[in-house]
Amino acid sequence: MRKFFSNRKLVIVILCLIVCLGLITLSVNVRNRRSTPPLIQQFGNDVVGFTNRVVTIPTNGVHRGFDSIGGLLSTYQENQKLKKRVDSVVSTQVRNQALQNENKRLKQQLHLGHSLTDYKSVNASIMTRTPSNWQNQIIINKGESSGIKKNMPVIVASGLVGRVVEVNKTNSKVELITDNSGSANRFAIQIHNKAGKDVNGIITGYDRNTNRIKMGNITTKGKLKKGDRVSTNGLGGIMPKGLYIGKVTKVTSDDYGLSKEVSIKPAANLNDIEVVTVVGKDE
Amino acid sequence: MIKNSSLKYVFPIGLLIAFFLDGSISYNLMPILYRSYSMVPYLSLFWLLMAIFFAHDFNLHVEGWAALLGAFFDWYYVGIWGVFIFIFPLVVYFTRVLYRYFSINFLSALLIYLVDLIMVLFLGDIADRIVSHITGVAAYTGINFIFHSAIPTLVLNAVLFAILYFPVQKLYNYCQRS
Repeated sequence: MRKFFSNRKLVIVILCLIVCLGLITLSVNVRNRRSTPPLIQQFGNDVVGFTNRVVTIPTNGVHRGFDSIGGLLSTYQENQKLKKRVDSVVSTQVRNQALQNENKRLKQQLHLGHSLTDYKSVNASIMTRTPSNWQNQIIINKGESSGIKKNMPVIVASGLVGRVVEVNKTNSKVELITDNSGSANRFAIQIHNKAGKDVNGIITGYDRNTNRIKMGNITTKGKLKKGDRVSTNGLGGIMPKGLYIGKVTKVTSDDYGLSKEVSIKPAANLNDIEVVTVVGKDE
Repeated sequence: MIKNSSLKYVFPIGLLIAFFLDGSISYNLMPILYRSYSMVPYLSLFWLLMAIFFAHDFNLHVEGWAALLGAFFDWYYVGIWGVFIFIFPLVVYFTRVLYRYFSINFLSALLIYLVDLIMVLFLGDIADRIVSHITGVAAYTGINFIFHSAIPTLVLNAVLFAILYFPVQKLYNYCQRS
């Protein structure tokens, strides 16, 4: 009798293991191939997301309260620093406006529709973060009904932070570039060097210890220096051109000495994100 | 057997709050919890285990709730099915087995909780490896995992446990008396 029971337990455990493996394989494949999760999962996520707001609003409120107190304490120094920059910002803005108008006119003359630098944007606030050791994912409060699509890049004011991996009706999941999974790393980016030449490559990983983005697969030859600016190059998928990523901190050659690997300091503070903007190519 | 214990309502509501708090704490304390290491709060697991420890004379179907919690975790937080939906009930079952050999006090409860967490972390890591294998990306190496996520997570949860153990025990006892 005892043996029978232990056998039955073994069968249950093995059955669970098989089902578990099957589910994981299935859902990873669905996640990689389809633009939205299965309907039932979408519905579940929308319901949970709606309830989540009840807890999110007070906790995030407390967080923001502490942030504003911290901000108040450093107001004086910041004010001094910012005052110096205001003039240059205004002049840049005016110049930007002029360039934008000129760009628009030139495009009209060339009968050019939308180019890689045109994009539309949706603002969203963050509801929560995945409590997990192996995923750097945040959940934002806008979804399909606000026009968000899978693989759209997500930025904060200072630069790129990640991309949308799952879209529900009213919320979506964003994988941060600090995540080491496959899809998080495939951003096509370029470095503008001092000589005015663009060097293209792909984000290949992230170093958690030093907080540096790694860039590899560099095809073009060109001198790279510390401090060169990095942005997206608009190639591949629905990524627009010209989203700022960060600055080059180190250029090394890889283990075989054949290609270069570049360390990039991300412009956005990837650990303290409050509001994000989801951008997509204007089509 | 107390039929109309208020635990019937307090337990699911508490579980729901603990579930959302896991995410909210992770997000709001992101600059502290997720640096080169990662500390993950598991308050919902804590809530489940406390139910096993203290709600003895009332059958709450904790395993069922654990499966439901795991499903929510998989859908809402992780986005991949089949990870926590099996891990959580397994851990709860394991706790029920262990529970018979101990008389529950602060230290033995902490010990069981930590053993459970190690199980969750270990099984989660295996799941991560499977996912990485399917997507074709190399996962963290073993040593990295132990020092960068397992130990910090255990420390954080031990601290949370120390803070919450007595209040939650009081709450469970109060609900069963009334």
